Amino acid sequence: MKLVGLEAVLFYLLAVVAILFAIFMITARSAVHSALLLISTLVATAGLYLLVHAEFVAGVQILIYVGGVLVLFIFVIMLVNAKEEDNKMFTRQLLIGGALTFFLGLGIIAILLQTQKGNFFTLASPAPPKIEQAQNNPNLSPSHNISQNTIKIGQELYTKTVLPFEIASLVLLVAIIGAVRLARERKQEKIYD
Amino acid sequence: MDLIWLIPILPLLGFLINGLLARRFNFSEKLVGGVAVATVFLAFVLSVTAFVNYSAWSKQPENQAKPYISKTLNYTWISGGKAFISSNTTPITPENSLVDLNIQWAYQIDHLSVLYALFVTFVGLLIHIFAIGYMHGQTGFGRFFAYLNLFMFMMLTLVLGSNLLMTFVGWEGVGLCSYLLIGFYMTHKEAAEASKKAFIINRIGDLGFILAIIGVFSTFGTLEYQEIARLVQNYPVEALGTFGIMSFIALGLFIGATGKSAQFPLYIWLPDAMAGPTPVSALIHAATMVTAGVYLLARMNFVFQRSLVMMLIIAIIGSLTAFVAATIAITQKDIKKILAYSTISQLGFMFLGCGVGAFVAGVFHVITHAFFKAQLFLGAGSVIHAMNNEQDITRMGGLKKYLPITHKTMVVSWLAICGIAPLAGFWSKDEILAKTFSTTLFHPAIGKMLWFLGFLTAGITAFYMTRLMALTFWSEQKFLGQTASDGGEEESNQEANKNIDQKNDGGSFKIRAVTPSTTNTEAISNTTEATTNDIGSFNIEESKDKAERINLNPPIVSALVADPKESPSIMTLPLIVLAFFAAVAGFIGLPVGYNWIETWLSPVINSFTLHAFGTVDIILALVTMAWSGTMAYAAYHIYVKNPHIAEDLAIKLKPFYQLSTNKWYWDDLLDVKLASLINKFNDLLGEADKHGVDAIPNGSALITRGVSILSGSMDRYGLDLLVNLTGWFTRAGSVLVRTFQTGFLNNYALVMVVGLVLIIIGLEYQAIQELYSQYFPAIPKIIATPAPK
Amino acid sequence: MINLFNIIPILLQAQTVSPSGVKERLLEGIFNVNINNFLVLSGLLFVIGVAGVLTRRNVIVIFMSIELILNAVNINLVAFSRYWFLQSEGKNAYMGEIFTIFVIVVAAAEAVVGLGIVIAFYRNKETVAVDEIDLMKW
Repeated sequence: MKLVGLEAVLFYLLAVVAILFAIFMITARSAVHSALLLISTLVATAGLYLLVHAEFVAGVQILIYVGGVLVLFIFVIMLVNAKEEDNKMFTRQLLIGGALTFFLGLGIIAILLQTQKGNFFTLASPAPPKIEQAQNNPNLSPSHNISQNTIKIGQELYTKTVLPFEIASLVLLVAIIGAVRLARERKQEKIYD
Repeated sequence: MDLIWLIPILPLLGFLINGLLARRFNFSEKLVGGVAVATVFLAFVLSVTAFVNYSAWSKQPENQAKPYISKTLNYTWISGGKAFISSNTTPITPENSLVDLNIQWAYQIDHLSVLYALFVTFVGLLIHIFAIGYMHGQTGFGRFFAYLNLFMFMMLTLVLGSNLLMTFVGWEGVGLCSYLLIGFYMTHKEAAEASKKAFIINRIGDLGFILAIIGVFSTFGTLEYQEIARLVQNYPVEALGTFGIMSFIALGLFIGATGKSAQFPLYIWLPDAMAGPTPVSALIHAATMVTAGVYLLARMNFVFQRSLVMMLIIAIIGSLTAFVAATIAITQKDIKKILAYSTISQLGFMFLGCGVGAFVAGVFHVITHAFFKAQLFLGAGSVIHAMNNEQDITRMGGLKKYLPITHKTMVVSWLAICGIAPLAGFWSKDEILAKTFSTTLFHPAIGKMLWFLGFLTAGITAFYMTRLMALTFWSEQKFLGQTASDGGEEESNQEANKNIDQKNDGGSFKIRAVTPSTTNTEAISNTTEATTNDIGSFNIEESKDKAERINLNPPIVSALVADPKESPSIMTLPLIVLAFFAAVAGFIGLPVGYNWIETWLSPVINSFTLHAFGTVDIILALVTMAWSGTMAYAAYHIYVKNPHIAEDLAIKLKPFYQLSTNKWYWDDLLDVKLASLINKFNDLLGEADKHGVDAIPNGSALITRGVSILSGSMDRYGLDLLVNLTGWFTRAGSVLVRTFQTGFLNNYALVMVVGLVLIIIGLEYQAIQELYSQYFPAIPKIIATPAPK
Repeated sequence: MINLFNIIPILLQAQTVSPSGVKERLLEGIFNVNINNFLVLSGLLFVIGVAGVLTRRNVIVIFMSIELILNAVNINLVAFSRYWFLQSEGKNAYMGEIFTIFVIVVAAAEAVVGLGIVIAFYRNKETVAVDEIDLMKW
């Protein structure tokens, strides 16, 4: 797996954006700013997904995270009106937490280097698979307007992993019910109970 | 033939239409009933077609070896990947112990299931038609028919399913419908409790069923009936005294069947289930659902035949149930309860038949019983309908002239259940009795004993059924004929007699006010006392409650005021049809000549080689018939000719009478003894808690007290330093421990990350050390272990 | 333009190779983005997320940091999915991405429930600062 040329440039660009905005996010004073910065990070990540031809996941990322979850976050931020935090952003364990995460980062880098000794992950330079060719040749692809990646994911999602898929839908259902139950007011509770 | 799947789906469609739309769009009763009946009628037509086609198909020589048609709805229902099974092949390798858990949602037609589908849809159709008349004007009309249709769907899924799991779905589904329909009058506490009781007791049986399914899968690696039937040939017959895997599966299935088919000891739900509407009692609790247990036994007969010990248990339980239920039925006063106990008794007969290896006879009895018992229930429904929801037969009498059609049709069924030739019940019951008498499965003496029990039961059956008919139709009229049905007369009656029926605000249901009669007060108080003495120590009020609840309730002084009229033709038509079949259904299983049902079922039920039909059987049949006739005449004599004999007998045979009215004390045992046992157990646990577990805090308190006394004395001697030290240590320790329990989210997350870092350091110490030692020389080198090459 | 993420390990390993080797490897690392870059990126995002969880007071920001952590994991999964896609010529190549979808689903569910809790809590206590929430305290 190699990205060269313009793709590499794009990778660095997006990676730097993601990391910088992530750092800004955890240091932003206002929660709304945090949310906006997180959106930027996620969009950058979606760009990274596009770089590795995961178009469907990129789309899902934008739609669900940016379009759904983060909007929800912003709603909640506006609901709870958390301005009081502005003068005191961090907990008392800022120092020890920072130090600990620093060590964690060092440890993770050490692990990465350990695993890539002898270029473990870049051993082979395989021939591009046939699916890729099919993707390039519109005549071979039955529906060439849709990305091959999306077709494949759809096929696998509804055949091999249909059980987890159903379970996921149940999880969402439970989450919806739980959220409704949690978030309703006393007055509403009195009405419905 | 490709439309088999439509048979169950059609009632489901009816359920969806009636269940979802009827209330919202205010369907008229005609529309609701039309939809319900139409779907069931179509299912019946399809069943007939399937039956005709299938009988032609299966007669072809190439199909006779494998007489199953299935996979008509080829949909993989559960695809669970690989599963381990305890394969019996050796050596055990991953190949032969791993199977695909792949369960199809497939409907299967074979000789047994098509027969069941046929009579289920037929009886169901008639009862649907009857119910249109019976439920007329009641609230929840649409709901009722939606449930009935759902029941038909579930029952047909149970019957037509091609594997055990589908049968289980249907099994649970009919249980659910049974629950819903028993509790149909949900504003009545009694009905709600009865539905809960039925549901919970059925769950006990279902546990056994689930265990059996697991056992089947882990043994055979499949749940398809045809596969099981093929694979089971590899297993030997487990003789009496051995209990192998076949016996385990059979036991599980039998426990399931016990719950569903109301066998001893799980039969107690069925009498209470009569709280539901009468068509429900006829359809679910007499004709179809409760025979699902027999279906299961017949379906899995190849498994049962490989476990002689289970066959014996089934036969014993069956005969016991038949006998016990029949004796209880003698003294019941509620017309539906009598029929319920009769149903239990007849189910016991079926189990007895299966138990002695005569599965065909069992299924035969299921079919004949479905006709005459459904007819009896519907007849009872007609009577109840005419009597304004009165169910006590001691308050009826003389209905013969009011309800001529109901009477005539019920007479046919009465003769059928009594086993009078040549009506249906005679052929099937006497086949079971003959097969029991001549069974070769067990020691001949066991067969004879079982036969004797069945023989007694046959007579008792004739007795209580005659009593039912006599008290309902033939004896003196005990209610007041009412000519004008205006409210004024009712009111005056109420004033005259406080315990007259009162209109419930719910509508057409009546609450009966009861007062003890003068004639029977002594007997009643005696029985109440006896109950009190027998059951133990609860106060009198409770015992009164008890007595009322278990039908010791005193007879009614006041006469019921009623104006019975024959039911409309929509109700009498099913009665006539069912009575016709109750009369002739027995001819499908004649013991001599061409025994159609045995020939028909032979591909799926390979019966044991049973005693051939001979003179012994004829003699037995004649003896049984004579005995039944005698008992029937005795009942007629007692209840019609000389009504006072009954009371005399009840007093003379008090122990037996009480045993019967109290239902052999089995309900009380469960209700009172078991409950008190559980309470005692709880008390025991409480005691254990008090003395055992509480000893720890108490003991620590004791120790603390001792320490304080000690330290106090030390203090007295001027050594309070120690005391202070103790306090200080405690406080310091608690401060130390407390710091980890801040309650702050972040701190807990911090601890998690600390753990993460520690794990990383522990696992990847070498990598960290190699990388960072130049910058942090303080990192100690790990004890050198030679790296593996 | 410099390969940011290859610099750190290469410099860290500078002692073991010759100085010229360092330069060569640096040059080689430029414009040669492989899976390690993705892993390093994912690791950094993860650490940033952890830092956010540990240090911030606002519980909503903590939730966002958790989303960041999950996102870091997703990057890992997608990168490995692509890697395996190229290695295995398309066989089972999409499991990583499908897993990513499930992670996103679970993250969404978690956010929904978590924010429900936040709202319920805010209604009672009028605060969203974690160091004022100590109901679990001894």
